[in-house]
Amino acid sequence: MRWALMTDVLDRVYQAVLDCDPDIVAESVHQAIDGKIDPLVVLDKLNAAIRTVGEKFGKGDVFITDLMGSAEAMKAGIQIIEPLILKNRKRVETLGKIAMATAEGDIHDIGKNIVVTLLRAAGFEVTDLGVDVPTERIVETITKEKSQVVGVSALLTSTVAAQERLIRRLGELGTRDAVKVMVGGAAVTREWSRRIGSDGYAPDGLTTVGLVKQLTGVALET
Amino acid sequence: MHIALGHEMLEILDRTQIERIHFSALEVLERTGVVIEQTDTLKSLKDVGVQVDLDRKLARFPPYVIQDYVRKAPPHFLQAGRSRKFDFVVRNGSVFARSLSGCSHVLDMETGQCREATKNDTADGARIIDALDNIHFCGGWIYPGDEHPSYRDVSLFKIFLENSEKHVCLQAYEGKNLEFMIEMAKAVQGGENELRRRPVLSIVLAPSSPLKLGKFMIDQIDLAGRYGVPGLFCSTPIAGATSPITLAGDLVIVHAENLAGIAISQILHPGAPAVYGPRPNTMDMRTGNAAWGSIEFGILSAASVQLGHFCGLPVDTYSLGTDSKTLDEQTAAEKSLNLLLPALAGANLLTGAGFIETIRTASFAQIVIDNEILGMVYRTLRGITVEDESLALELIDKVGPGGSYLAEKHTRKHALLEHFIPAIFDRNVRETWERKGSRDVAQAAKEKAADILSKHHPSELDKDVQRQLDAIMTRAKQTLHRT
Repeated sequence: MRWALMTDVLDRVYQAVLDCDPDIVAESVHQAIDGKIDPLVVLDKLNAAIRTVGEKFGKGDVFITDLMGSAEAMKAGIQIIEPLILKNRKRVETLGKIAMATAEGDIHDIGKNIVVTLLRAAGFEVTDLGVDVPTERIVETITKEKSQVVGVSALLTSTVAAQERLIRRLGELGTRDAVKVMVGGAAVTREWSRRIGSDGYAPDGLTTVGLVKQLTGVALET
Repeated sequence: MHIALGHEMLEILDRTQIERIHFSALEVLERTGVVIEQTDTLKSLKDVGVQVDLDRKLARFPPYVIQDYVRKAPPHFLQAGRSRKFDFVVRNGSVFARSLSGCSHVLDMETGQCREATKNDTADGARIIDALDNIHFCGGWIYPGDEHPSYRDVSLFKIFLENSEKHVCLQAYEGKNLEFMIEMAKAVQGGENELRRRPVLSIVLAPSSPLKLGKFMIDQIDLAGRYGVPGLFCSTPIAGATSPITLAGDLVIVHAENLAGIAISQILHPGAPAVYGPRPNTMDMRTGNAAWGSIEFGILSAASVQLGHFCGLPVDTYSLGTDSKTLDEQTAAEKSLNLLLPALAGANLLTGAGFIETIRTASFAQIVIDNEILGMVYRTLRGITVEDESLALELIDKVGPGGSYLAEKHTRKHALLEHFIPAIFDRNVRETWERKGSRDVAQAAKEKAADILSKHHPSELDKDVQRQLDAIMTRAKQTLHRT
């Protein structure tokens, strides 16, 4: 593919993510791959697009629904190129590895999903464990994936104890220092997060990105 | 900028009550009559069948005269801005808002203290109104205390023309003063015919309650009618002092005075644009002070909307009224309720943004907050759209139990259309709010006002027009100056 056409198709990928249009994203990613553009270059473009939307959301220029729409559109592109990248055994550079889960007993995931989207938009690799995640499964995942930060969200007051259980369990296993634990969700307060000895608390999605940057050393503590 | 009313959402009076008040007002106009302090006009009234007692200056209107002539008032007419983008049509079924007319003081932006207003404040106020989207035209908001009282109103109008491109509605002290304003309006719009087509000025016409129409009012009715300048007929009785303390009795006075004023305008100039403007304030019996934030003001305004519409007239109500001295909870509660009541009743013009303290004091921060409250009320008036697209059954089925609507196109498409997005009201979580400086809404509004003042500059007047305005002002000063 000629250079001019190549930038053209990549621009279309970028714009389609901004436009929240999964069909155009998929179509132009296919075009890019057919045109022999490196899947990693396409991934860069997808990341750049979602980062732009994330920044706009941070500034209040777009709504959360735009951000989630862009994330959905981006997913359509990722699904195409991820197998190709894995096949070539290439490593994707990210800001860090994060695991996210909703506390055991809690099925409310809108807030957690927003945080996952924002972290991915900021350039982190996020493993989303979903809802109602038992402590043992979280422990297994962060051990296996060597996650730098794990976040547990709780909307129901009755489920915040799961956050404490995770920290205690990591202590018993002697792996507490290997991972930073952050807690959040409507039922959680900063006082609670201190009391259970977590490494960080964020009151909303946008603040979480800053917190994760601090915990991973991407940004200096302010 | 056209805001259409979905439908009238509130009826304070039922049909029987409306008719009873209407016919009571007609009875008052026939039995008690109205004093009109202008002999020529009394003679014109006599010619159309009004019973006139020249010695007592008393006019008794047979009901048919009121009904015949009020009917001649146009159901819709244009109020123009200096710039065409701010033109709008006044009619039943749409709603527009303006600042009030008549503050003598301001809350100083630097010190927060209340002080007498200056010409600078008048100009700054005009620029702020020009910048606020939910306020469609200007009232003569801030009267400059550093201008001589004989022509302060003329000076104010000139400053508004220089600092805003929106339509101006204000009070002139006397007919002579209004003549100079009309001169200015002609200069700005490009001549008498153009002024008639696109009146950049409308005029507040207030009787002296109860049931007296002063010479200054009659002179201005005549002048405004001659040039097609819309007249806002503002009966302003104080319940308990210049009208009965009972709400129904107060409405009879409001209705009688407004109908008498509008009938006179139509007798002198058939088809002259006229607005029905109730200002039913009440007396606080503990102090004897007039109250403009009382809840009765809101109830009476809502009822008056029904009375004006019953006669086929567009209605301007006083909204956003408060008697509080600061930007506090009293201000928020009184303003919101007194705006919402007449708005829900279907008022077409909502007057009153920008003041506290019973019309006396202007606040730049408050008008920014009022702009926000107006946005919420416009949203209320749009009601709920019930149709296939908004019921969203296909979407509900697609997302299914346990799914999320956040990333759906339908959500993006309707987020802005269906929901009011506040500009200054805060919805952050506490930690974020604290990080951003723990600002309350008064502080946020003050910063927004300061930002507007540093950035917003309406287009300047044509140099030749500016010279004409300066010359008219010089003549006005020479002619009107009284010591």
